[in-house]
Amino acid sequence: MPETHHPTPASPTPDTATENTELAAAAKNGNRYAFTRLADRYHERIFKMVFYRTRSRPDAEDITQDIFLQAFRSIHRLKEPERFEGWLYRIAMNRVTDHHRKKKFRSLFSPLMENDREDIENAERPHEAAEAVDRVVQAQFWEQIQALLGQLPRMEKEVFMLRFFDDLGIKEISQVLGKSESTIKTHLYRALAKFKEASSLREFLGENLP
Amino acid sequence: MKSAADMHLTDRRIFEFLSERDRLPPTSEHDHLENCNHCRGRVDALDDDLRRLKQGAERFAPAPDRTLRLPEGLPGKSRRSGRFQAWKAGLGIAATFGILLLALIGIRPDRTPSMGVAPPPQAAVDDLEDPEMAEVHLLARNALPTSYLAITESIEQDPDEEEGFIDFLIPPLEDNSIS
Repeated sequence: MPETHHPTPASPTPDTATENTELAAAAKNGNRYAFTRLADRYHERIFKMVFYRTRSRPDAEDITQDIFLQAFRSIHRLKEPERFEGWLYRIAMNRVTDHHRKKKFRSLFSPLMENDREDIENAERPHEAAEAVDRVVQAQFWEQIQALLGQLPRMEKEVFMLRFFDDLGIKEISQVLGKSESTIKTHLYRALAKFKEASSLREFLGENLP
Repeated sequence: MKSAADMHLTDRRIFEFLSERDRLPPTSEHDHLENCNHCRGRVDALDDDLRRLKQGAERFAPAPDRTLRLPEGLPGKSRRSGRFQAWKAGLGIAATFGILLLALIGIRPDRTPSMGVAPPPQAAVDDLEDPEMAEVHLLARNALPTSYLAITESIEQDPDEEEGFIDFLIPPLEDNSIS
């Protein structure tokens, strides 16, 4: 039986991880070039991480900018450069949480404010999908994802997304969320049990994604 | 004797393998997976679907359009040297202002009744014989500037006279200029 090969999950290669640690140490000491290189490496990952949680491109752009701005201003407080990734994702999680809180607060005063209306239109509009079929698949994909994530409690949802969408390891997730690794694993396995039973989503993935 | 089902991996072991395969040391479960097609199939099916999930998320999420804009100066240090110093200066100014304000509204000399302060009622007069109550009355009498006391007295006599002041304190609901 041929062995199925899957790409190594989670952590970057050891060389990349070492480079990132060196860049973080230099940036911590005030090296602007080192910080810029780190920002280039993490920009798209952080942007997508935010997009998965906001489903709005304009919001993801704004929040990502805020995240790196905060990282730039407070990198001198990073105690261990080898924890840069977890530290950066923690800033990102806090910013996303702030965004959702403010959005909820605004919604108390107006059922649908203009900005929110634009956000919904942007979120529903397929992004860069050239073919009509692709646009349909894209819309269905996010619907299926929402159906799964909607039934997960907040912590299970976050752990699942950080692990299988954002490719963080258990150790990094525990740093980001400030919980022990055993707590992270408990939530992760519960989420995986629900994913295992999500037959509709799994069928969709099998039919539409190679 | 264990049945075949008992020898297979539990869901939890499979989840652990899928979540941490890089960190897990070689165990009997690894050997079992190499030799058990049933368990291997379960692992591969779930693994494939998780891979497709990640693939779909990456494919259907846009790439960032804007480039990042970083402030001038050095990371970390710019906040520490510039804004931190500005914060300290601001705190000093606020403290100085607070001290001056306290000095201006500090203990004033007793007011005489001719300056517009009504004589205290009889019960309060009786209380003045008590030195502690005398101090309380002294503080209450001087709590507000004379102009405030004059306003409250005029409101009691003729509410319409100070309508402008009342509107300032409690704006009417139709006023849309207040944010």
